[in-house]
Amino acid sequence: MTTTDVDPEAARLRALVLPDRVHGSVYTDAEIYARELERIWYSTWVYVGHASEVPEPNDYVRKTIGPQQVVMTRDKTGAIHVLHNRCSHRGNLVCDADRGNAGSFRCPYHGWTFANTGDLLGFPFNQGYGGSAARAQLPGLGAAPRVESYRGFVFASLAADGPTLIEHLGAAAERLDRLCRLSPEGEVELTAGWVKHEVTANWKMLVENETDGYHPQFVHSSIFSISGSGIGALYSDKSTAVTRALGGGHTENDLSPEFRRLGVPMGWAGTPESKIPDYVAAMRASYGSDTADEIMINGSPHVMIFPNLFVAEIQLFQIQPLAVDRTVQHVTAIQFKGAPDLNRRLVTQCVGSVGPAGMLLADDAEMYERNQRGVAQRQPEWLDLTRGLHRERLDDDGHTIGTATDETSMRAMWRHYLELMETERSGARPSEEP
Amino acid sequence: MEDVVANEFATVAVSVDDRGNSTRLRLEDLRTGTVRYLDALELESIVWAPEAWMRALLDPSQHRWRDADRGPAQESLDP
Repeated sequence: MTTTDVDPEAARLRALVLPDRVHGSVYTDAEIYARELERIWYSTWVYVGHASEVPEPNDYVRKTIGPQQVVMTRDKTGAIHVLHNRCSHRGNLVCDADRGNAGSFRCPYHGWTFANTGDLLGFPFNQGYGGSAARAQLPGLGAAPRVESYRGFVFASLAADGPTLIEHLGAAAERLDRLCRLSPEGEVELTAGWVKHEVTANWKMLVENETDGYHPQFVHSSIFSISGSGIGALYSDKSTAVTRALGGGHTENDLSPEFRRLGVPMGWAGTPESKIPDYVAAMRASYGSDTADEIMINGSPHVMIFPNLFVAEIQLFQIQPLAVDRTVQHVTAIQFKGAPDLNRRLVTQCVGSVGPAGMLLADDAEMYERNQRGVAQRQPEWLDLTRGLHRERLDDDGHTIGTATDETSMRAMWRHYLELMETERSGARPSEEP
Repeated sequence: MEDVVANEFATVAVSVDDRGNSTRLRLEDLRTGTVRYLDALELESIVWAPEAWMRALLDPSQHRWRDADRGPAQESLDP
């Protein structure tokens, strides 16, 4: 990695992102945002979609990498591709539908036709190019140079070089394992449909909030009270839950100590065994009673995988910046393969929390937008990041942890952010845990 | 019975036609009304056709959008 001491923009950023505070302009400055796109969104691994969204050969879905429109395809052989949604002729969007099944895509502007691998198959009236042989000389659809998946989660990097996906994920990979273990078949499926929710706020507001354990008791008190959820109480200084920096900018609120203290299978989901007998039986048949109960007691992760994949126990968010002050949250209910009775309940719960009228999503969205308007005010210029700084410690795995309400996660995110933003070349390696 | 096979790029009505002495598949491009019938052997041949043949078939210059000075579409495709 090369730190660009002579890069004035890097020097300016170092003055704006400090270990215990961050300047308000990092949420509002268009030049900083432009640099974020190049150094973060178009360089590191970004979550694109899930393999279950393209289950059949020739399935495709439209997805995003920040403001970039991409198409995630599964070709005839089963391989997954991430293609730029841009005709190589005149730059028109080639795919318009959110999803479909097609072995080839035909641009509606002049009929240039591409295989779902990106190869150019042909174009109308080819004598204008000297015949069909010209096809070999003309470009196909642009493709993400690197596409890898972990447990069905497909990530792409627009940089040709850099860390592998597994290096990028680091300890966060185990959190995806933990999620998948909640399926009797070891797989999650993202088949419940998506809510796309745009907020007038900078994308980092969302990333910080996802593992901010300080806000739930205030912002989400109404949904916790009407739903009878005990989750809110877990975000307190008395809780044994911890906020953890996993390295690489990835962070989590680990509520599992509280769930283990409760000791009730599926207690984390507020769902008694009697409501989901088929699921519980399938889990015990797959893993054995003891292991199944351990999995069902420990519950689902609450992890923010930098920069855009947030798993919040039963729902998944994909964060997409559109501009310095515009961000879309793509949200879906997580579905566990082989668990139809549980899945029905999860969809119902997610409708209440993050559906179009969901209270959790609305609560947070209001805070994001108020925050964005707030940081535009002139004084004070800085946002404070000191909560819990004096009581951070290392856990047995060497990860920095704080209490459930500490800002350990934000500080870790900003450290990684600064490392990426300072780096001269794309594809920076993930930061080491301090 | 007629079904429609559609994606955002094409919309084709598909039905089995039994007016002849044996059945055949009737395909209608619903965006233009153009119809083609395929008999069983033609269908089997499509099933067995090499991938390069299908890729060539998808080249618009081979048929619908062929340059007029090249004459009608050739019986053998030009991959």
